[in-house]
Amino acid sequence: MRCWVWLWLLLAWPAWGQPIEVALFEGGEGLDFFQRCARRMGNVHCQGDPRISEKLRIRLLEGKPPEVTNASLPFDQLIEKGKILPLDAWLDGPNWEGTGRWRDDFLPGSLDRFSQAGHVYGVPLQYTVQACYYSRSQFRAHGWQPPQTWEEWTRLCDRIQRTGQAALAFQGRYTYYASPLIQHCYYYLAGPQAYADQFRLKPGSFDNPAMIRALEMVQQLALQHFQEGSMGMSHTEAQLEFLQGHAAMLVCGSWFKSEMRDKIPAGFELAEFPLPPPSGCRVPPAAQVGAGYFFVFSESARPDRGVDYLRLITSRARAEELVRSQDLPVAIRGANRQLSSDLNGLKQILEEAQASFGEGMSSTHPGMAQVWSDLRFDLLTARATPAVLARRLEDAASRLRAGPGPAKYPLRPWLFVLGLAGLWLLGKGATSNQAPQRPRLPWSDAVWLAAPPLFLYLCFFCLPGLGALLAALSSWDGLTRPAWAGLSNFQQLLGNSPRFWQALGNNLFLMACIPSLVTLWSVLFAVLLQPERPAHRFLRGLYFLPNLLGIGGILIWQQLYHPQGPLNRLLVALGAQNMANFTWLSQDHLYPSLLPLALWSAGGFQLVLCSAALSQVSEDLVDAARLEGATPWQQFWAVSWPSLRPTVLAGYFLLLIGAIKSFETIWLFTNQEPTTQVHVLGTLLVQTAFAELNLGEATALAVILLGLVLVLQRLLNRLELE
Amino acid sequence: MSRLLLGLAALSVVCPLIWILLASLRPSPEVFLNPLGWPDHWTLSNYKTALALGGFTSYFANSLWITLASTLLTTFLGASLAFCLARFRLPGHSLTQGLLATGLVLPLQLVVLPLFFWLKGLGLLGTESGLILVYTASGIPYAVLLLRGFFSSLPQELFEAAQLDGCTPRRAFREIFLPLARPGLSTVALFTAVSIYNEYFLAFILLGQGTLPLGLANLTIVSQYHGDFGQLYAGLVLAMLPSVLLYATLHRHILTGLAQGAVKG
Repeated sequence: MRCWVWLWLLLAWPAWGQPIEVALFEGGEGLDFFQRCARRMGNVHCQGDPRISEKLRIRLLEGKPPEVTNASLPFDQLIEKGKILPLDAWLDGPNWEGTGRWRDDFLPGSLDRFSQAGHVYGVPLQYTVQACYYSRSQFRAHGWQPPQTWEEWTRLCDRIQRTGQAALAFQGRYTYYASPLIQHCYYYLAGPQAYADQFRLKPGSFDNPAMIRALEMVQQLALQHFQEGSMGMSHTEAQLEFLQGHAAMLVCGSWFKSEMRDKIPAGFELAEFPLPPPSGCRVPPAAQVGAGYFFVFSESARPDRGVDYLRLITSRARAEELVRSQDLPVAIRGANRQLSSDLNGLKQILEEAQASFGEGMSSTHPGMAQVWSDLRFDLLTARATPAVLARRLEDAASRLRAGPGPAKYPLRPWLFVLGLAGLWLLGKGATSNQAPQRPRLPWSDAVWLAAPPLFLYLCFFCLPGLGALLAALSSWDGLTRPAWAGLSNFQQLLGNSPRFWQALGNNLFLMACIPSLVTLWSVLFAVLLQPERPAHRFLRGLYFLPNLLGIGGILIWQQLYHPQGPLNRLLVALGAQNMANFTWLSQDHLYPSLLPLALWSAGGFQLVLCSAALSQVSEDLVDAARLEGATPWQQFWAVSWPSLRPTVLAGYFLLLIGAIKSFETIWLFTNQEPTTQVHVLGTLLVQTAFAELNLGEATALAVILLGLVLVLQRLLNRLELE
Repeated sequence: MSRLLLGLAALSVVCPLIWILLASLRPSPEVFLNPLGWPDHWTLSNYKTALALGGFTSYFANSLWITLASTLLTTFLGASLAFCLARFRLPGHSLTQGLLATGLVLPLQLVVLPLFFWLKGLGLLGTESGLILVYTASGIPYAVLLLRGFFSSLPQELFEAAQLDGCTPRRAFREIFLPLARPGLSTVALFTAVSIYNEYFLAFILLGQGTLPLGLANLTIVSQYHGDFGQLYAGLVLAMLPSVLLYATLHRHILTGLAQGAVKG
């Protein structure tokens, strides 16, 4: 191990004076602490960003990782590929203060999560404990007691609800927050051994009575005691609801106080109790923990200095400073004594725990993570019974144990060649009209006039498109060299990927609804605005305005759609009481909610085009039709429609293409984390490429996208020619 | 009946914009408690936080620079290619047209991954010039599509007269046709500018940070973490201001240009 250290020192010497880079996730968890440590060490550039993982994924592909990060990245995969530095040489060396071995400073078991083949790759600093938060002053005022068992807890919830207050706030937009509840119930019902078996995907570890009971308990809790409208709330919104007294309790990790620091009202008296175990349970008390791990990239310029930075922040003195300044537990021995008194509940949980469990201790199989996240939504909204869901988990586990099966619809190479030929024919159909005879452009002028735009266009648009066709035929993670994979990417997508079809289905929904809706609206309004008058011109200009706002418009609508936001308040004021907490952006209602926005932001453009086309209709013709006794309806069809038709079709086509390519609205409305049910092809592509590092499959997806567009274009050309 | 419809539609366009403007001028707890209310206290503090926060001003400057440069390049290069295609036979004329037609429908998602590595190889990844080149390349098909109509519709006699006077195509383009196509050019420039100013996907992948749409998306997340939406409202108003002002002053040109293009193309 030592020799590696020397080798790095040798390789790293040109970068000696450069500052090392520490890239941190910043979500209210005290970036200043890390920046203070950076200044203390000197020559460290420390930056925090709430979207750090997205950025790092791109930088990894770029081959320029920072030295240290705590972002959430597919670390198990990165470790396998040798991108993460093993830390054993330093862990067995002295700690920062030189008072002992570095390894011995960590709480027992906390180094296990990212150990592979006897090497440790990640070290923990912040430690999270799950707890239920409440306001001591409020509990005192009502004479409520923290519950000892789950049953007492639900009875307490009933009592609270009788006072007209909601019992539990819940961060429903991120169903991940239900995971601690499920894990808690299963751990205490089934015991530590059975709990650990789930992570190993052992047969029968999901579809069993204890698991079904655990899911049942959580479902009951959600249906009866979660605050109304909570499924549409982000974590901050739900946490504010709790702090503002709209709900009496909140389940959250120990980062809660640090995250909501300035939002806790005076006299609130924050307190916490452990999630209560089911009554009659014999399992000794355990803490459900998670940890924030830090990693050093082996290909960064100065990995050794990165390790030094980690040694500094995990030293006892600095860890205590972090605990004091942020009021967060840490994974460093002895430092948690510094927690403030309103976190006594957390201290107690940590002290009384005889064991620990949770996702901080064991890694969920990546394949299961998606299954779980889809399942939680169904569980909380009672889409499916616990028995059905347990069965679903068991099936998913057995599929994962078996490994990828043969594709349902195997692709043959000749089919692919045929497909390509088809695409070419379609593309050829797209360029219809022959150029009439025109003079030839002399070369001397062509070089000046036509060559620069063509060169740029070919270089930065067409060649990459060709490159994509090649990449789609390879297996490629962006980190190592691509390998020829033939058609397996297409095979995987078309034959073996339910989420691809799901995303395609969502695209089809958008393609079916948005263009027709927008076109109908614009034709109707073009007719309504027909006689050209100043007032009409003004209105047309007004309707057009949102078309220029782009992303700003999307973000405004996100605010309008907030469950307690202006739109719902307005609807309630108009008498629709049941819309009080309607969750427009939860995955159930997301797609219909996109339609008003589409109309708002794309209608004006179509309207202007249609109006222009209508104004070309000669007025004599209209007058003649009226004199002949044609009804307004007949006037429209016989006189106006023929000149409107090409414009309408062209606009319809552009909207269709827009619906296939849609990305931004979904991406932003889901806070850049769409669930499987709401992906469109565009967002699925970004996730496949940059979150799952499967570039081959992602480009294959893009090729299919192109195929779809070309098919559409061909169909439309047909229509227009007729 | 039709008045009612028109009025409702106008309200639905204006209300969200007025709401965001008012919300940005109120302290954010007040908005949270009573989103529909009229401001009790007027404040500019949201604007101060938004401007002070994480380089919002530099996002603004970057966005404006990238938009300006790519718009000028796209319009000028698009016009010269459109002129050649409208008035001459180029070597590989139909192939060029085919490529441009494909470019109109090619999903950006298809090209973005190869582009990423292509720019990385050229050392342009994460730089503004790289993004400007990509924006220009991807905007050329639209510009050509819109401008070819304009150039074909100019009288043939003009062109012949110029040739008789011994004017080279290059000079004819620069001195006769470019000035004549000004309405078309300004329409193209405006649409290119607006779409680039609002572009998110390519900027997110190829630049990583630094343009306004990314800054706004960031601000959304930051506001959620801190439970303080006031700065987001202020940021949104600031970001939309240039588009709205531009539109307010030039709306007549924009709409006429668009209508002309629609009728000719």
